[in-house]
Amino acid sequence: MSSSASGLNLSSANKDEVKQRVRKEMAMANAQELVNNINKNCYQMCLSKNPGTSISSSDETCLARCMDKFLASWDVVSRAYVSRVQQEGSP
Amino acid sequence: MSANYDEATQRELQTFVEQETAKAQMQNTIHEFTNRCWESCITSAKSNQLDSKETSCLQNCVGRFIDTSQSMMPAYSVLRRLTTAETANVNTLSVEPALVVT
Repeated sequence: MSSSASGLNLSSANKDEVKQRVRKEMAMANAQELVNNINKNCYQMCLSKNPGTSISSSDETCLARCMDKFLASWDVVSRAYVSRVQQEGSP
Repeated sequence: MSANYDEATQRELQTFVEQETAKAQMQNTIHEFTNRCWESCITSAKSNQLDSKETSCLQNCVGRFIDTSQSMMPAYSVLRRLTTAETANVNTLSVEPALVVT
């Protein structure tokens, strides 16, 4: 246990590595959430009314457009939210 | 375990975690708003771009949702008072069912 104590002294390089890893995990989680939301909302928009026995080419077109639109919406919402928060100084 | 870090390191890491937590909360709020506003503003995927109506609808949706949550601020203080009163009640009441069982 006493030997591991020295291992717990984080050098600044280690610290940066830990921070970098945390940031990467957070970015992954954020992207994951975005993909889940695209899946959920675009299934709802393109397939929920008529799921069919297989995905048709018109379904695929709808899904591709929906994905682009969802990403654009996420961007618009992010900008609107951030500018509002900055305007008021606090959320 | 954390006792092995010097105080400056502890403080630095704590600040880092707080900042990252705040960032994550903000990202979650944005996801939530996107879902909510998508539902009320986007009805079809006939094109792969947002038209100007959809864009302004999304912007208004975010703005009005924040307005709503701000106009609910007085309700929060009522809620807080109620819940603290309730927890106090629950704590005193929780003794009774035990007495009933025995």
